Amino acid sequence: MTARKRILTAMRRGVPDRVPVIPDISNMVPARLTGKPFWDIYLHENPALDEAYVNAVKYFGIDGWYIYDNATMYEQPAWKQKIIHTAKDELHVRRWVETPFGELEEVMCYPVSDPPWAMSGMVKDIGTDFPKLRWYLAQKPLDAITKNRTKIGEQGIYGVAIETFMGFWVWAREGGSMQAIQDFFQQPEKMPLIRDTYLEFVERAAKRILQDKPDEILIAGSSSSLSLSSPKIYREYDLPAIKIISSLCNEAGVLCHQHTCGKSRQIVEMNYRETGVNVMEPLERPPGGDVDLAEVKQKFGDKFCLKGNVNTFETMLNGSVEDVKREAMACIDAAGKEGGFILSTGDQCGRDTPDENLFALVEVAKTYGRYPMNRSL
Amino acid sequence: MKELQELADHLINGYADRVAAVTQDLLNKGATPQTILNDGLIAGMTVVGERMRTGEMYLPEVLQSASAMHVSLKILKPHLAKDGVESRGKIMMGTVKGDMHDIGKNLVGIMLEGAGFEVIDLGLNVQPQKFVEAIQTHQPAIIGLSAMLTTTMLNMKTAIEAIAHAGLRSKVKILIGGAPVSQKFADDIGADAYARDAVKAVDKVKELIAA
Repeated sequence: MTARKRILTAMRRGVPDRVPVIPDISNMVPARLTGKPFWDIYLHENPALDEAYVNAVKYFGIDGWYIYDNATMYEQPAWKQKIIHTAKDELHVRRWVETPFGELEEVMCYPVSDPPWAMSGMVKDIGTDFPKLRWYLAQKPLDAITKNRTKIGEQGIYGVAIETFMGFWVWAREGGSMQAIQDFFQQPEKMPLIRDTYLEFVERAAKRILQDKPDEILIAGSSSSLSLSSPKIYREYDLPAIKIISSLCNEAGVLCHQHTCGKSRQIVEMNYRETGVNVMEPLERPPGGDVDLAEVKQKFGDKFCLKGNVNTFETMLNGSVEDVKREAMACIDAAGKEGGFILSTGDQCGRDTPDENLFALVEVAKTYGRYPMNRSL
Repeated sequence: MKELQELADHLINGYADRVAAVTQDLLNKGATPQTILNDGLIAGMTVVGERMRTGEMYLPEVLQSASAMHVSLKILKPHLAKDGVESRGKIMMGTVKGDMHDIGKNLVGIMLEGAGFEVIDLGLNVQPQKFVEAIQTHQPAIIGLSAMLTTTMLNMKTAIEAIAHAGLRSKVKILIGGAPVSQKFADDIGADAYARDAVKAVDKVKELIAA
């Protein structure tokens, strides 16, 4: 069975040859493996992060999960950029796009050994800057979003990411997550319009993406985590877009997969009752999250494929090979017995996650995770 | 006093305008700033902390309560100073080099202020040397280091090493917090304490001050 077929079988809640294994190394680990300054990967694309990821898939022998085409984020060449500060350990880059309402701009910091972060967000003042962003979203070309669909081949599945509303707003807003949260309370009259503008974009983007039949649409919802947000905000601002995307995916026969790390137990339940999402991840356990994998399998496994949830801090980063094996086997015992499960990590693996721990995770999937599982649990 | 309960209730609900109005009203009626702080604000934030712990309140609501408390403290501060109410100690805080996450740190800072501590916030992405210079300038009793990423948490160790290298380690206690860190990590890097949330952080600071 190819990795792609294995993953798709599990995502459709079937039983593949073995439990697929997709540790979340979509970001820092592949960049670290290149041995290059991180700005070579994230800024100069030499190699680009997606290429580094495909190499990491081969290196670790994992089942691949390509999610580097993102509908929401800016894309070249509409955006211009210029390095405005160079130091030995970081570069600062101004990035901007012309709009009829003036320049929409952000300033990013590219550290030498960490992923980039926004020093200055696009929407500094909602009244002044949101019209620019709205114009940009309305104009944004969508035809090229799925341009990289052949890069992963049968080594994994190809997904296209769309941010949740919170993901979009934290990305766009000056002040990041702190200000994005305050906006719901300080400018409550403006937020529904911003949400509805984003909803229009999401619907247009999802329809266009689905014409190209990716394996899945990934709803990128890190910022919708209940470690940061609240059930009320999730219901009023995130759920409407998730309903639209998942409904369109269901109609098109394309899988709909949501990532929400941190506390997410209530989100799993809301999605179960109110959306067409097919796959939920990473189902983070305490202390960072609040999910009991066995409990969500028992209550929601008739609808969701579950992907998770070996702890990234205690186990993957700081634990031993034996710790990884022990927790990975416990995950398979909790949720893997009858298929519909992908062995993964409880969130993005840190940059310095030991290679041997990732290899150990893969080994467990390939041995302990082989179907049929006849052992009594 | 009925108004003190009202103040606590408005604080729990995150109504900053009402908290400000009741604070001023209580002062006008002769309530001491210490009473307002203890029986209104701290009483309210204790409930907020408990509700956060039990999952009845989430970060956005807690932030509104903390912001409301901040508004009230601004009104109270000159009165507290005038009455000779002394700070319970000086606490310096910062998110370590390379990290741009500040919600947790801000929340801890506001709750510490509410508990009667003087808080000096060095902000985000704080270089180790800046911690050293700030210790020399402000002479805090405790430093709180925050990090949200597995990559930046390692810069807590760098900051502690810089403080030790400058000969200042014995002069300050160091508390760490943030999603990826743990008691074991605190022990490994030589921090004095670890707190997993804002409520615990205030408790730890009180313990460290008392020790």
